[in-house]
Amino acid sequence: MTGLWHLLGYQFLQNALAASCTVAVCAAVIGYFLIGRGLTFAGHAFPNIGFAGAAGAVLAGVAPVFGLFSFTIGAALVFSFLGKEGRDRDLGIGVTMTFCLGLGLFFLALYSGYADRVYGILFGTILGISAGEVAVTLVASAVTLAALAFLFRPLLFSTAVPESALARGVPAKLVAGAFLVLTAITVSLAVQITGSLLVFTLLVGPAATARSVFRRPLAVIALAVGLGEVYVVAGILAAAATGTLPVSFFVAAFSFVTFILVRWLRGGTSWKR
Amino acid sequence: MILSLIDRRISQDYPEAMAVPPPPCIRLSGVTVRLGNRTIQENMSFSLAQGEFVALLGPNGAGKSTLLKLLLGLLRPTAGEVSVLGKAPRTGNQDIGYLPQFLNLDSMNTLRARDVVGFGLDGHRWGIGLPSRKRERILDEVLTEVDALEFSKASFDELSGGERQRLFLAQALISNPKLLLLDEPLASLDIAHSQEVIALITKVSRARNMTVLLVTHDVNPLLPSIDKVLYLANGQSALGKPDDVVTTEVLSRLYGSRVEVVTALDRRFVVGAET
Repeated sequence: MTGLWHLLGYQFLQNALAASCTVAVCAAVIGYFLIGRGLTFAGHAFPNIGFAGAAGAVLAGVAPVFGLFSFTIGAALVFSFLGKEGRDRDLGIGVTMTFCLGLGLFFLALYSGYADRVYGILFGTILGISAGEVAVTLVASAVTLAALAFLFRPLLFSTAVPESALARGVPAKLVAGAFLVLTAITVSLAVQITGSLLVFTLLVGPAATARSVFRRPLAVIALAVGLGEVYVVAGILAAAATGTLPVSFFVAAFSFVTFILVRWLRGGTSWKR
Repeated sequence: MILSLIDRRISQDYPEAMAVPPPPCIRLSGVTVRLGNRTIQENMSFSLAQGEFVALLGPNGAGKSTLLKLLLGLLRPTAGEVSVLGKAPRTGNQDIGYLPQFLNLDSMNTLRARDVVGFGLDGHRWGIGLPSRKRERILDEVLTEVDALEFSKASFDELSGGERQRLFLAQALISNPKLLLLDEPLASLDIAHSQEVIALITKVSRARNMTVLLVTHDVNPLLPSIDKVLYLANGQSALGKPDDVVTTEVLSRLYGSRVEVVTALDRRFVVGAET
C-alpha cells in the first residue's frame, strides 16, 4: 500500500486519474443510450474511424487529436443520415468503418517517420497525458454532459417509442444527430485512455452491466458511472503498481469479469429477450 | 349562460341552423396521398363527430397507418385538406393521444411500467426532469384508470401483451386528449386479452367523450363497441355503420373485384380479398 501512496505523488499519475475519471462519466452515460438505441456497433466503429483521422493528422504534420475529432464528428454526421433501420444503418456504418481503417493504413504507409503517436492512438497513452490535455478533457466532458442532460428526456422517449416521440413533436432526427456527435466527442476523449482498440470497454461495459441490475434510467446510469470510475481507477493503479502492464488491459479485464459475475449472480434470467 | 341564450335565439330565429351538427373532430376533404409514385389514397373525404368510436379496417398497404400519420401531422397530403379538432394537423398536439404500432422493445426492457407512461406526460420536454409529487399523482391517476397501478413499478419485460397495451393506452391518455389514434393495439393479443383491452378503450372513451380511431384487421371483437367502420382498400374508402360497410356490395366496390362477406355465428368474414 505504501508503494501506491508513493506512486500517487507523481504528476503523471494524477493527470491520468483526473482525465480517466472525467471521461468515464461521459462514456457510461453515452453507453446507456448506445445500447438502448441499438448503436453499439457505431460505438465500435467510431474509434476505428478516429484512428484514420489521427494517422492523417500525423501525415499532415498536425497533432493527432485534431484528426481524431474531425474524423469521428464527420462520421457522426454521416451516420445520422443513414436512417434508423437497424440492419441498413449497420451496413452503412460497417462500410464507412472499413474504408476508414484502410485509409488509416494508407496514411501510415505514406508517412515515412516512426508513427509512435499513431500507435498511442491505437493503444492509449493515459500515463503520458499532460496537464493541458487534462484541462481540455475536463472542459469537453463538461460540455458533453450538459448537452446529454439537456437531451435526456427526448432522447430516451425517441429511443423507446420512436413513433410516439415524433407525434409528440420531438425533433427526433436532430436529437439522434446530436447524440451521435456527443458520442464522437466522448470516443475521441476516451481514446487517450484505452486506445482505439479498447474504447468499447469504457463505452459499453459499465452500462451493459448496470442494465442487468437496475431498471430506472437514472439508476442504471448512476451505477454505470460508478462502475466506470472503479474500472479506470483500479486499472490505472494496477498498471502503475505492476509498472509494465498496460492500463487498458486492466480496465478491459475488470469490465469483463464484472459483467460475467453480475450476469451469473442474476441467475441467468437476464439473458432472456 | 350567454351561450345558451344565443343558442335559444338562434333556434327561435333560424330553426334550420340548429340542425347543423357540432364541428367534426376529424374532417378530410378531397385528400390524395402519394408516396413515391404509389397512390395510397385518392380523393378521400369524410368526417367524424366528437365521441365516435371508429374501427379503421383494410388490407395491408391500404393506408391505415398513413391516415394516422396525416392526422398526427407527420405527413402532408399530396392534395386536399385535413382538419383535426378544427385546425390543421401539427406534431406535438396534446389533444391527440397516439398508440403506435412499433416499439423498440430492446430499449423498453429495462424501463419500469410507469417510466413508459411518463413519456406521454413530459418525454418531449428538454432536460432530465425533476421528480415531483404532482407528477407521481398524475401517473397514479392514469394508471388507475387503465387498471395498471398494481404493476406500475414492474419492469417492462415482465409484463404480458395485454398489460403492455394498457400502459401504452395510459401513455396516450395522460395528456387528456380529445382524439385517440390506436395503431393495431390488438395485433399481438389473444381473444381474451383483446376483449379486455377493447372493454377498457370503450369505457375510457365513453367516460371522456373521446373520438377513437382504432386500426385493426378483425372487426368482430369490436362489433359490440364501435359506432362506425372506416374501410380503406385500393385507394378508396367507405365510412358508415358496420352493417352498412362490411357488406358484399360495398367491399366489392372498394376492392374493385368480387369480395364476399360471410356471416357465421354473428361474426363477419371477408372472403376473396386476400389477393
